[in-house]
Amino acid sequence: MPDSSIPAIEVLNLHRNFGNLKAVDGVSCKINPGTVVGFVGANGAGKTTTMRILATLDYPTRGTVKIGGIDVVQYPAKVRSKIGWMPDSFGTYSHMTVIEYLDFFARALGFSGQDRIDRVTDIMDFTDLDSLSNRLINTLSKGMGQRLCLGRALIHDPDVLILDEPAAGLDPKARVELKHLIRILAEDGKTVLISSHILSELAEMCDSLLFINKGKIIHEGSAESLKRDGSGTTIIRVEIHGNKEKIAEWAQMSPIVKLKETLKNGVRLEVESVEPEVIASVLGRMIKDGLSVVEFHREERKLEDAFIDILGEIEAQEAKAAKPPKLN
Amino acid sequence: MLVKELRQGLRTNLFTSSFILLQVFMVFTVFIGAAAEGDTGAISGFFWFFLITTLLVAMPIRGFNALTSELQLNTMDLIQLTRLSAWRITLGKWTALMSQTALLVISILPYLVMRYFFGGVDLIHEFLILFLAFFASALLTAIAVGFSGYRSTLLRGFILVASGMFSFSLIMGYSVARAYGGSGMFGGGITTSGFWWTFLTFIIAGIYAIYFLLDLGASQIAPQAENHSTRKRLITLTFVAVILLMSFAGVEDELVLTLAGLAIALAWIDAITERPSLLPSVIQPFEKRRLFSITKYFLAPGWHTGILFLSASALVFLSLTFFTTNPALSWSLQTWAVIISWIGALTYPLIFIHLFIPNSKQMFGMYMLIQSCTLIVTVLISAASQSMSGLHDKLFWIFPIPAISIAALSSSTGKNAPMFFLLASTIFTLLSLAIPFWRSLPLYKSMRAGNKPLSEKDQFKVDRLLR
Repeated sequence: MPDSSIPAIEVLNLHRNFGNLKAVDGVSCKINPGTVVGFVGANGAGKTTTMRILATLDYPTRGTVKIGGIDVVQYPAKVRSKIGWMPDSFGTYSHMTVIEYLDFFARALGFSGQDRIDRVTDIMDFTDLDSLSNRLINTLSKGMGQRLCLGRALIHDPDVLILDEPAAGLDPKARVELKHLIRILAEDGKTVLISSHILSELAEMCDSLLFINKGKIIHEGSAESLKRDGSGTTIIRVEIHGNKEKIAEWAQMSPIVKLKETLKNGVRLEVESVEPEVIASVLGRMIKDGLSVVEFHREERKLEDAFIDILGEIEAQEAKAAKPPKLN
Repeated sequence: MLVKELRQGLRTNLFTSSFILLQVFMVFTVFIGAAAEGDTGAISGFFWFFLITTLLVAMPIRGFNALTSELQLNTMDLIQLTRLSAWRITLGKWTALMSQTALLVISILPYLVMRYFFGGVDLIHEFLILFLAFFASALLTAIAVGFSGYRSTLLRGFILVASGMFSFSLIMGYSVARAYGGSGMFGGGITTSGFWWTFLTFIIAGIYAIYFLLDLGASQIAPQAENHSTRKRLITLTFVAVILLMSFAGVEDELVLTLAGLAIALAWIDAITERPSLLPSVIQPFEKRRLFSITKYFLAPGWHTGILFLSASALVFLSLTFFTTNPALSWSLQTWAVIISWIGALTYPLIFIHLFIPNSKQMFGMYMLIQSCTLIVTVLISAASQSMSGLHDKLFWIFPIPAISIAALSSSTGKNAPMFFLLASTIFTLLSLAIPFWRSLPLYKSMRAGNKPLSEKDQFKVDRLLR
């Protein structure tokens, strides 16, 4: 078991330049053992470059990266025994079956004899690839290929898993299966850093999210905290039986409730509080005042919206900083 | 690695078709030979042409994508994350290819024996030729695998064409010799006194070349934390020392000098075009002992130490050559001028690289490109000078490069020509070493500083050189 006092992943002022392009520009973060962290960013934001450095496959221009307290640049071999890496796209060998592929990596990782056989068997069982053991890899579907790739990354039972876009290109069924496997690994105490474009999926799997843009971390926090609007208000969607004008009139009379939008079957209201007891009291008053409430639903901000809002704020700050001062 | 490569390799169409075709041709030539009641030159030529073509072309060519294919398929990353070192990956690929070649060779042994029973062939001689063809195949496969680590298709294409031309000359030379009743380039010498020493010299040189080429490929795919340079440089120096000692065993001085020169040239080119690495995991092992730490300036990876390695080993090489070769060998001004010009010919592309393309990430590719252009210019000038005497002397002023000075030395008749070319080549060689040396001063400073931080200005210079 990894030492819980040492961060599973520690990144300090990481920079990676490709010529004049700053792919990673001062990224710092700490990820504790046993947590699942989503790594979010647009294409070219620096996700893959950062993950490749974490996986000892690329070098920082500047900065320090440690996995389990071990520097990835100075001791790559030690780090490699602690990590499992799953790239966004992995090449397949022609003329090689599923079992031969896993067996090759088990051998290459230094396992021999019965131990090797057991590990390969366990991995095939875990990833549900038993029935495909003699299939040639280049005949597998994308979903099967991703399960195989995850299996390969797990052969040596690493403490930290770095998964770059594991769900990209998968059909819904394969996506659910992969999510299920990752959830099991998280329950098993593995630290997982996972990048994806599908934020709703990350929200279900991850303890926290790291947003990266133009090589910089722009937000760090849980999915729940992101869903909450920073304005201190709550949007609720209400549907009533009968004349919907009644609810609009009721909203105008109520001190902490504003009518936001009239919908086909109801309204969207803005309540000037995020406290659950205040929201509950609003519903209580509606019923007390004789409104036939059919549906009362607290709207959560979509993670995509939260991401876009954060990007908007950053851009506004940058524009403000870049604006020359007015001369009197 | 070997198991995986064999699993894949034995299932490829190229191997199975080569194997089947070879068997068909062997059966065909043996039966034709039997029908002709004894071996004829034409049948022998045909037999060896097909066999050597398979061994020297079809099998080695499979190695040209050995490492690049893993890079292109995105599988190299996955292999590198295992416990396999870059050296073991490269060696595994080469061994798998050679195992398949060995399988082909073993499969044709019965046909050799049958040719002996049908008469007209010297079995021992045929086995020796087969062994040498196998050995040449091993060398060519090492060239293919070694250079397959370079991503530049142009560079690999250039090496492919050069190796192809070399193989073709071997195949045609031997096949034509056999077809006209001769014994080929290896024949007739087994009974001579120096044969086995020369044979041993070639085998040692071949083993060294295979090692060096494979390590060249390994260093292309290795992470910066893996140091391949020190081993390569030390093994080259050991090889040169051993091969020079062969001159005492009666091996011809010219052969010894040629092999030693080729080996040291290969190591120098690699050293002066290497990517520098200042990672603590690379530098720290040199600093375990105080006296030993100075060796990091000569043996640590990178062109900056390559310059010092070249300078120091050139001095050692010249001293060893001077003392170990036959005293009768003339050490005139002309000899010195040729040797200095030869060193300068190897180093002069550094002037262009460090002055005009200092941030090139493909230093070796650039080096080869400049040398290729030089070769073309030198060949054209040499061809032109056939018809115009003294042209070299004049052209040296237009193309003042060491390669031209070597050519000029051979044709110049002037009394003071050797002294002039010695001076010119020395200045040129020193210049080609001084420019990269001056550029690499921040790197030496960083090596000397060890764990102590550099000033921001120096660190910026180091970062720029390491980029």
